Amino acid sequence: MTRSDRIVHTLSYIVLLAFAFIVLLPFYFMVITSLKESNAAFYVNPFLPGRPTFANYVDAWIKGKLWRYFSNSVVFSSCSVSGVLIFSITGGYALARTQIRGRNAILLLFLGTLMLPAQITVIPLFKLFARWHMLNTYIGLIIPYVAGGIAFSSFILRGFFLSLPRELGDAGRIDGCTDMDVFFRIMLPLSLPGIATVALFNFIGVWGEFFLALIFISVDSMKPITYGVFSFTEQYQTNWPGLTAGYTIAVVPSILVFLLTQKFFVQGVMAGALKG
Amino acid sequence: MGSTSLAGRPALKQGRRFSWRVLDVRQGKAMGYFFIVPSLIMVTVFVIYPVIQSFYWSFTNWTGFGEAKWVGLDNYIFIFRNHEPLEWLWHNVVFATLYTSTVIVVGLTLALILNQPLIARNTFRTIYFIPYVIPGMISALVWNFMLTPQFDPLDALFRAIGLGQFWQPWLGNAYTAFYVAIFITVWSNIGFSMVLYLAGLQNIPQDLYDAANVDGANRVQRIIRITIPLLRPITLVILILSIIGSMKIFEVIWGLTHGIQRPPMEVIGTAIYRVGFGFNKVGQASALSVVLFAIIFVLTIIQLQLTRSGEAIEY
Repeated sequence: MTRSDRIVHTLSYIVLLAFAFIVLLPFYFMVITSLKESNAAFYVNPFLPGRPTFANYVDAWIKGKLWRYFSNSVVFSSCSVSGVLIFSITGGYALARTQIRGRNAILLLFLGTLMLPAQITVIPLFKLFARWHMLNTYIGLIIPYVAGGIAFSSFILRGFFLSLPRELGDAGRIDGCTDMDVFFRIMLPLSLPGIATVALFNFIGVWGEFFLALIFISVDSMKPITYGVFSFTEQYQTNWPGLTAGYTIAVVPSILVFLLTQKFFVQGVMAGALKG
Repeated sequence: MGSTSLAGRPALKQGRRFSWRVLDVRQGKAMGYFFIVPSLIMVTVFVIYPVIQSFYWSFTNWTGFGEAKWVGLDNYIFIFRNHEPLEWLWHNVVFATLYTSTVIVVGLTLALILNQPLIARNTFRTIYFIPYVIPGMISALVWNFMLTPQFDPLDALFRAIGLGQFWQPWLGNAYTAFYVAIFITVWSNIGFSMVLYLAGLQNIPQDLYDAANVDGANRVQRIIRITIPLLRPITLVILILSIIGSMKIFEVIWGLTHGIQRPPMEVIGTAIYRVGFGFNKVGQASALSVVLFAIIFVLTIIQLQLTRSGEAIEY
């Protein structure tokens, strides 16, 4: 290694560590503070937990009603992801491998909707759901999530289906499969990686969503965790140990899911960004 | 006979003008329609139709109750003639400029560094990506906590390493708080930018660098003359996505201000919510959202044009 290589290497590590420090700093403080007994403990030593306690988590969960917000988020996320999958797997396949007329027009339409900011659909949807008494219901928030996710997810899955060789379907047809068989028995199982990617992407998106929840939900018991924690912050303004416990509970599922499925997730991000 | 060809159309035996096989194609089509129609309905009813309604309402002065009276372009004229909406727009522009440039530079730097064979590469990659997956509102709330006046973990940190005098109550002042919002958004998205650049870097053939080395290029020249130009497509994507994202921001501002209006921090996204749901001026809010959409639309078209014209890059 030349001398300049060594310098670059050292500099590289320094930069990497510096950024890693900045990235992880909030998480560190968040967790440390959540383990403190009270705000006073912070003034003693802000960097270490002192006598760590899980009491804040229990408080946040029970008194702070985080259990309610958490389960709402679970419902919203799982239902929305299931919904998006049903629509986008079939839709994606239809756009990729069937001979329907207007295939390209529909694709263009879906891609066009990706340009829409949430703000432009939200006010009319709010009025609509208000009229149908669907505000503050599970289905009332799930439908916008699903409808919003269909276009992008269909596009991604279409890409996946297109990458599967046609010959597989033809081979199936020769063996007597109907087109439905080809879809369910051949194409679908092979597209599981794509389905996983889409599912993860939508999960992370719905779990962390705030704006639509803010609009369609106003009753405390129906709030998903991002909104719940937001309100909770207004209420317990300076109870930092309690608040940070809440924040930690809110982010753990996202981080866990990400860590377990990194490959798929990163793939999905790249596919989405490089779609153009 | 009459096996299906690769085109999906039944290949008929010579001379035949009809085959029972045509039913297969019909069945394929039927299944296709059956598969796509539900999605089409969902998107039309819950996405397309609301957009049309927003367009319509933007030309009225509806307040959510009673009659919607047609006012033509009044709402739009109001937006472009009054300083408040223009200020909001300006804030978005400032946000877009600072955020986009930072996220591109940082993402590229990290990607260049991580493109080398270093230890714990994957660990670093994972770490930088974590802020991207957590809920945006939580990011804002956690940084809000980090910068709280009396309790400031960040202040304590600065003091501990001797930089105490650089401390300011950054969130107290709405102007600096705006920059904090930009910082938080950069913090959340460096993983995204870095990952895209990493993918792009890996697509650059090593031969180019080898050839450059033969010609005596040093490290810096290699980066400036080869790497960066070849990353142009990715830079373009990140650029446009970041600008569009900057136009739409809402959560980070809302998280820092807790929904309380602080004029130097007001952006189009938050304004639409306040005008539409706070003041119930549905007509005006709709007009604002149409303007927002128009901006995004124009940016997307520009991106598409630039991508197409830049496609003739040869290695």
